[in-house]
Amino acid sequence: MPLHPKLSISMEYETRGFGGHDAPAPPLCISREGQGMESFLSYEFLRRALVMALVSGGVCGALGVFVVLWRMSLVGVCISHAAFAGALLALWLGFPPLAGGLAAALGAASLAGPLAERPGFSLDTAMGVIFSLVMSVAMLALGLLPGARTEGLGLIWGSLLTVTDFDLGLMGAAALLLCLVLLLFFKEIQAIIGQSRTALAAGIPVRAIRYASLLLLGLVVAFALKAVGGLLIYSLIVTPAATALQLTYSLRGMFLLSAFLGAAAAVAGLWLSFRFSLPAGAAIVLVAALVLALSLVFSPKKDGRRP
Amino acid sequence: MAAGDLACLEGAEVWFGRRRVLADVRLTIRPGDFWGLIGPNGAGKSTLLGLFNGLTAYRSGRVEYAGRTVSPKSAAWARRSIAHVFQATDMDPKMPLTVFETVLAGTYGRLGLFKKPGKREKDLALRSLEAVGLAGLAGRPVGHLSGGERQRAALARALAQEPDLLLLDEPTASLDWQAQREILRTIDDLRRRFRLSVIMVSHDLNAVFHLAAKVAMLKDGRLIWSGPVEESMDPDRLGFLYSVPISIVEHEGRRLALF
Repeated sequence: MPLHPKLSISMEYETRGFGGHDAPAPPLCISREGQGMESFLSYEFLRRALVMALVSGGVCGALGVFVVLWRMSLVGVCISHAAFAGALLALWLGFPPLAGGLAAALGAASLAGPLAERPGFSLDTAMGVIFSLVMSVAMLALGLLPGARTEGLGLIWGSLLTVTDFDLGLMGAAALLLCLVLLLFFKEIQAIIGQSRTALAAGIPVRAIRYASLLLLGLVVAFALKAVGGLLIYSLIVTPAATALQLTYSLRGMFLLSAFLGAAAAVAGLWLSFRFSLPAGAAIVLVAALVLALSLVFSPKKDGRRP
Repeated sequence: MAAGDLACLEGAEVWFGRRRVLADVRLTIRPGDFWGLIGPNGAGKSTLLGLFNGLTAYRSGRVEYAGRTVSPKSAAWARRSIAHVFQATDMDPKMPLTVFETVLAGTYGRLGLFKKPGKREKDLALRSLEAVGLAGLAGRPVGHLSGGERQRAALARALAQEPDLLLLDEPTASLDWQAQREILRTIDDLRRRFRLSVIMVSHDLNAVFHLAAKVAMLKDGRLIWSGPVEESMDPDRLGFLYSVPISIVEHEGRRLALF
């Protein structure tokens, strides 16, 4: 590996991906020389980026099933942007952005649960207000950041290429936790979707499971923030799940399919960014959206048809 | 609460913020009772139903079920043997859930956490589906059901819970006449076969007169009258309850309410 990944990162690198005509030289030589998969894998930071894309794509995809089926889309948007604002704020105050993102994401997740339960309270409106509030905090922190703001801007677009083993370890742990929750509480999750009041009245711990899934969402968003970016992570959560919903009537299948689609979109986007010198985050989101569009057109569930 | 009673409300009072929703409600449910709970919109009928399984928080008075006090904080035990069928709501036709899965989920409360549904639970779900006449639709996505079928699936889910007390919140709302008739017949049939105690909230007075043995009338959060169904068919009292003139006519031996 010719360069330490940290050294090769610059603003242009984040926004333009691997290429672009006026981008600085060092990292770009890598992709110009060989564009095959072997050369892709021959750099350790690229390999790490690939594993991170695979794992965070899968985890975000699976978590999206909760978001889509429980209609918590706006809650998810707020949690991911709160993490973004928290990370920027931490950066400005001189704390590790991961800590700030984690605190803000978990804070937002634990606020959203009780808010959603208040009778006669419009969650829609609350989330709209919180979203703009959180974004203004993010912009404020970004404006206050001294110097080149490279790291701060990096949190907007995300930078899969700066992923460290520590980041990978955290995301891996979150993936294990998610698998554990799904294995242990699958039956309760199934009892709750679409019929949470009936499940609650039958003695199923609806609130505990809903809060656990929200906290898990906050955790994953915070861990994936650096790699995927504050503006794009939410798309990786909701789009694969929305796609999977078009394709299967099985909840188990939906979790598996959504995780697969998330991982596939992340990897495909990363490869496209490598091959065609595109920003990685945008490429991932566009791939995921394209698959969703195709699934909407060709959904076997259209017009109530059976798969 | 006297020995042998299934549940009772003793002066229960419920507040939503500064608004008193239920005031001094007293009602005793005996095993095997079929209560019809009637009253205008906003009278507090659904809130009253929720007292029995701790979905409604009350400020004063007492709620007892099976000899123990129920409150929202300690209701998990009561919820396992009380089935609550809510007013039907729309469901996403793409919802990844089959009719069988939703009925099987009725057994999960009793089964408890960390246990997989086994043969007993699956048999129970199948028998519940047969009891409501939906066995043929077990594999269908639940979002594809018609309103009447969805209500029957909800009844099957309630039945799979093996309840002692069945709470029905407007089971025939927004159904066509045929579906209403089928649901009412199913409720009557299930009650007899499984010896259920039932409390049914309904705006359909004739359904209440036809099925219920006892009637409770709720107006502005107060229980204004409760007693046997024959005595409830009083035009003056019903007229007062709904604030519209109501007459009772006889047709082929049945007494019917008209407005």
